[in-house]
Amino acid sequence: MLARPLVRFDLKLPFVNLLKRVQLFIYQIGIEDNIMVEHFSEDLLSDILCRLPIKSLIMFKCVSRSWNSLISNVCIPRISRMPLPLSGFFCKFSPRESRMEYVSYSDEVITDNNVNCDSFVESYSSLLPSKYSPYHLVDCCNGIILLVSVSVCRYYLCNPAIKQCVAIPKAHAHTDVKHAVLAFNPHESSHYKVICLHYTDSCCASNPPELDIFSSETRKWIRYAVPVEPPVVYGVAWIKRNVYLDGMLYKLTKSKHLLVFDLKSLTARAIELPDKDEPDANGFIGVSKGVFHYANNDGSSFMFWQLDYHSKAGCFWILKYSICIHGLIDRHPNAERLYEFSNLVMCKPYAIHPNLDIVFLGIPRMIFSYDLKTNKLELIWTRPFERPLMWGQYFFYTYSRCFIMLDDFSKRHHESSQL
Amino acid sequence: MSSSIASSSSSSSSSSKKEKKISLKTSDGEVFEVEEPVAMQLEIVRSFFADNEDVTEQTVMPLPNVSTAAMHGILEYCRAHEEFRRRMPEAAPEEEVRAFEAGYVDRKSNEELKEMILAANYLNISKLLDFLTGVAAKRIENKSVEYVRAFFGVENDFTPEEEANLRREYEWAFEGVDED
Repeated sequence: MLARPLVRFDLKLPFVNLLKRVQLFIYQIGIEDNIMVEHFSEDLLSDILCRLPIKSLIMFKCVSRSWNSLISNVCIPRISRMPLPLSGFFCKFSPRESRMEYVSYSDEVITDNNVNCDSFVESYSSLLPSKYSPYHLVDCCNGIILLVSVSVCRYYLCNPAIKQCVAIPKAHAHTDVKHAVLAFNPHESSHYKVICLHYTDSCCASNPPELDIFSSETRKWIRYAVPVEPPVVYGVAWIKRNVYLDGMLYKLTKSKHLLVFDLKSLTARAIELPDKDEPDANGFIGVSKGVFHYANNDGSSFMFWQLDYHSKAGCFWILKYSICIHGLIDRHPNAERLYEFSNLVMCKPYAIHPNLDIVFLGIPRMIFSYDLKTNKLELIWTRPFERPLMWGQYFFYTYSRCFIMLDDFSKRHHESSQL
Repeated sequence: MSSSIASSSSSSSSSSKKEKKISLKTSDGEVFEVEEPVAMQLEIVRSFFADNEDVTEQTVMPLPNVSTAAMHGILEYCRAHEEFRRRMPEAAPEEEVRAFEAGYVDRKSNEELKEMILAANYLNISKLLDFLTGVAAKRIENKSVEYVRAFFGVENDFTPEEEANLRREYEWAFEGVDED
């Protein structure tokens, strides 16, 4: 911006040369006066601020108005575009129990059991209106927890990292707690969707499944019938765990299919699972490095597959990891505890690391992390005998802190709800 | 301050032919004669000479946004890096570079650091800028809001109520702040 006048002073025309010199002279005087008051530009400042730990960054929103908006509008979105490190796990013990536990995790050090658990759960529970308790954890997606108040059947979103809680308008059609999914990605926008899935039971075996979708943009619940191609799964029971990734909602069925709902076009596809011939033990679904994964235990090994949704060849699954359980036990003495129930079928994949080549395996009383690069196996969590993880991976969620404010329409508008 | 542009490079003729020097003039009128490979680390200088083929060795390039004090600091850094490059053209000796950088920045006050960041930004020396912004972040990390306002000379333009509300909203971020 300032360097351009300097380029001209060697022009051959004496008059132009003189003019340029005068221009430069004036320009330099101006600079002389300004140099002491020059401030850091927003670009320069945000380069510095984005290197700060998140706690300091948030605190410095109180420095001034311009810092507040720079941090909210530039720094936090920039930081959020980087992969979110894994901060811990949420889990729930049975479908009927509202109690949840949190175990913190970091890629370097495992913090002790339950040290942060109570205060962590308290930190977001205190944001919820207490008159509607108890709340059940329904989903956890990119750092946001979806909870439902059982008594009034109303959904709430909590962001424990920035202590934000947003109440979703109640849909009058919702009279009992449904399976619900949160579709939120801070890299895409601060908007989100909550999707309630209606169980398809045998009485409507010929009808496509129905989704009630709440969008923070329209602030309305709308019901859609979503046809599935091929319609082989109509009337088949679904498995509770859901995964959201890139505008798609993933769900397993008891018929060993993966249902993939496209939330934009409101169409769905049923894909046969790679282990469709195995006995009907339910597998695990999750996301790592932006790719959808399915995993299961085939009786002797943990198998992790990647989904290649746009596969032209007609084969959707790519085997990514195969981890022999006996090999694991031979190499790692403490892995013998995987034998605790003397039944290899009890060993399950519980989670997959969102950014690293690490998987979490275990039995209902113990979870191990296994690093595929270094072959390191570590016990990260032990459950008391009387409180095992009952249903395995369906109630075990990875949690990464997110610092994006959710769009909170309730602060700006009257609630509206179509259903 | 002199308005004459191409007059003060009298000493450049005495320097050896082998090592070309480039004259850079700071805001307070001091002319620095800088070895070409060092000066070329300053992107603003490199592109000036690349864009203007007819400039001569006698040309003094004015750098009106850079003080003499900042220029001394900048050249110390660029000369050290040129020396590392000359000794080990393949890969810089990382430990030595780190030791140099740590000692180099320890001697700088906050004021000097800020002035050098502005200068490195203007001169477009990305490596130095990257390093210095990291140092600035370390110096304000976990410090109080008041400390940071003083550090950057930022005026608090919130009303007391607004500030109190923000502090309440982000209460968790205010736990365990270092002494100033």
